[in-house]
Order: sequence, then structure tokens, then C-alpha cells
Amino acid sequence: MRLVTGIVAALAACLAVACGAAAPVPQAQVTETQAAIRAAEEVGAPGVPKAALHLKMAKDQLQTAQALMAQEDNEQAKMTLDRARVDAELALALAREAAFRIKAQEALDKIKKLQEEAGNSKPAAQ
Amino acid sequence: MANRTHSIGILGIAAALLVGCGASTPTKELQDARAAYQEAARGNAAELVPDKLLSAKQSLDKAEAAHNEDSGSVQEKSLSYVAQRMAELAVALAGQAQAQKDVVDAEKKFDETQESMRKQAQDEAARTAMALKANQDKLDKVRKDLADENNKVGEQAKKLAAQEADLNAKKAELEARQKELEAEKAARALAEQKLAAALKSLEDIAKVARTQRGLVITLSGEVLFVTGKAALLPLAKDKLATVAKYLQQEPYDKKIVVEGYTDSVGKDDANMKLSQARADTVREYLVMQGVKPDRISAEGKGKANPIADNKTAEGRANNRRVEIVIK
Repeated sequence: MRLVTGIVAALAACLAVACGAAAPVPQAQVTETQAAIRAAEEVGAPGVPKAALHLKMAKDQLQTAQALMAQEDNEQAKMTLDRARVDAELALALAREAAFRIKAQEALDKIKKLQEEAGNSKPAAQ
Repeated sequence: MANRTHSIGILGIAAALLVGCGASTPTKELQDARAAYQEAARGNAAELVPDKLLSAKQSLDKAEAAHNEDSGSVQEKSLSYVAQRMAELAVALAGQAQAQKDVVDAEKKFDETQESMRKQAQDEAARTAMALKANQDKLDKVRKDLADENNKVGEQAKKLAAQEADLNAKKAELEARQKELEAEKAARALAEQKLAAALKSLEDIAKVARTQRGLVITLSGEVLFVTGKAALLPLAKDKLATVAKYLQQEPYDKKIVVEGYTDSVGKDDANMKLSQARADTVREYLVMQGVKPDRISAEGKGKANPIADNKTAEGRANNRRVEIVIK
């Protein structure tokens, strides 16, 4: 089994090296990933713990991808960019979800406050 | 070229080997991806964001395919990573959609609550206004009744005041009348006193008797007149003065008659003449003394109405008299 794993690993590496250089430069993906990261930041992802985590992961992976592109390992760079982008989108979605949850809670609090006011302003029982 | 063929050849063997061992242990990444999808599928993503859930499934299928083709490969791991994130994305988007719905529902409820409260307050205000008006109407009625009562009382007070004034006037009238009466009484008493006094004086000088005819004052002829004549004796004037005083005490409306009488001696017509003359003389003198002429008359009666027996001297003397009758 170990032997098989070893061969597979070697083959995979060979494949990567062999096919890596032939893939196109994923510049559009870089731009899209950067846009997604910016969007997540604008929505306030840094302030929401889970979102902030994924945002960091997106940024780190973007950097890795750009390094890989510099080494002309476009295949790897593309896969890394895929991950970076999906992390950025998740960060964005989590941030938005958090914001709407807060809004929903505020709306409920508003109702509660209104009902309390109604209870307070009721005249004493006759 | 030979290198290529060599690589392909090895590939073929590796592929065959892979197929043989393909369905074996998935990477941790793939396991996490599968778990993440399961969780997403269980939640409300299917209802709220079905298209995102589908995308997540497709990502997972890609990862599974990579696993089947080249288990444990970088592709499998990378695609699994992406698949897991896609599942988590579906969950996050579903959460957002739910939260958005909640906001809409909450805002709707807020408006409804506000409206309900507003309506309640309105009803309350209307009720209060009605109650206030009812009380106001009551108050107005009470005020009106009070005013009417006051008027009634005022009227009664006026009536009472009028009655009181009337009573006072009558009282005053009564008092005045009483005073009048008392004055009259006093005057009468005084008059009576005077009369009594005068009568006493009269009784000292003449015979006074109350008869059916009235009060009769009898004066002797011998005391008054010169014998056989109608001339008054000096003493008579004093007596007649007293008589006059008395007569003036008697009420004016009482008629006075001076009657002259003789005895039965002598001729009748001579006696009549004498008695008349004597009556006139007495009358004249009394009038001179102040008795009002129109209340006093003189009559000669002659020998009529003797008061004593004419057969005796004393009797005849008594018959020769003057009677002054006050009717």
C-alpha cells in the first residue's frame, strides 16, 4: 500500500509539474478574488469572528496564489484562487447574515419596547 | 517522446492501481465537505436558497469525482475544501434570507401593534370624551335645576316679603285703629266722667230720673219762676246754668224737650199759655248758656201728666214744674 501511495504521489507531482506550466495565467480570477475580498471587508467581515477568519484565509490564499503565479505554477495558482474566492464569498455571506440577524433582533426589540409602552400607559383598572 | 510514452504507460498502471483502491479512505477534507453538505441539506437552505444548495451539491459531486479518479489527490482536497465552503455558504445565505424575512415580519408586526395601540388610544379618547360630555350634561342639568330652585325660592321669598309687608301694614292699621279706639274710649271715658260729674252736680239741684221717655230732669216751678209768671228767679239762673252744663255733656244727637206743667187750678188755656211761656223761657235761658238751639225744643203741657195729687197743696206745688227730657 505504501508503495502505491508513493507511486501515486510521485505521479501526482509529475502531473503537476508536467501540466502546470501549460495552464493560462488566471489574472481574471485574481481580480475577481480581490473584488470579493474588498466586498467582504466593506460589509464588515472583520468585525464578525467567523467571517474574519474566512477573510484572513482568503487573503492568505490570494497571496499564495500570486506567489505561485510568479513561479509560473498556474495550475496550482488556479486551485488556490478557487479556494481564496470561495473563502471571500463565505466571509461576505457570514458578515451579511450577521448584519441582518442584528437588524431582525433590533426590529423585535422595537416591538417589545412598543408593547411595554402600551402596558405602561394603560390607565389604572377601573 | 519516449519520456511521454513512458509517463503515459506508468499512468496507465497507476490508474489501474487507483481504480483497484479508488473507493478507499476519503481525505479529511472530503469527509468535512460531505458533513458540511449534510448539515446544509438538513436546514432551511433547501426552502430558502435551493439554488445555492444545488451549487453546493455540484461542488461536492466534483470533489467526489476527483476522489474517485485520484483518491487523496491535491484536486480532491482542494475541491473538497471548496465544496465545504459552498455548503457553509448555502447555510449562511439561508440564514441571511431568514433574517431578512424576520425583519419584514417584525416591521409588519410593529406597524400592526402601533395601529392597534393608536386605535385603542382613539377609542379610549372617544370614551373619555363621551364620559366627559355625559358629566358635562349632568352638570348643566344640575346647574339648571339649581337655577330653577333658586328662582322658585326667590319667588317664594318675594311672596313672603309681600305677605310680610301686607301683614305689617295691617298690623300698623290695626295699631292705629286700636289707638283711635283707645283715644275714643279715653275721650268717651272722659266724657262719661264729665257727664257723671255733671250729673252729680245736677242731682244736687234737681230731681233726675231715668224713665221710658229718657232722662227726665224735674225742676220745681216755685224755685224757678215768679209766682203765676214766666219770669225766672235769680236762684233759677244758677240752677239752669248747672242744667245747661249737664246738657252740653250729653251727646249732641240726643233731643231735648223742655216741658212746662201747671197744676189743675184755673182755666186750661191760661195754664197752657203759662206752661208754654215758662217752657220757652227755660229754653231760651238754656240756649243762652250754650245749649245748641236746634236740639232743644219747648212744649207747654198745661195740667197734663200730673205727678202728684192736685187735691193737696203739696201735690199741686209738685205738679207746677218744668221737666227737661233728654231722649
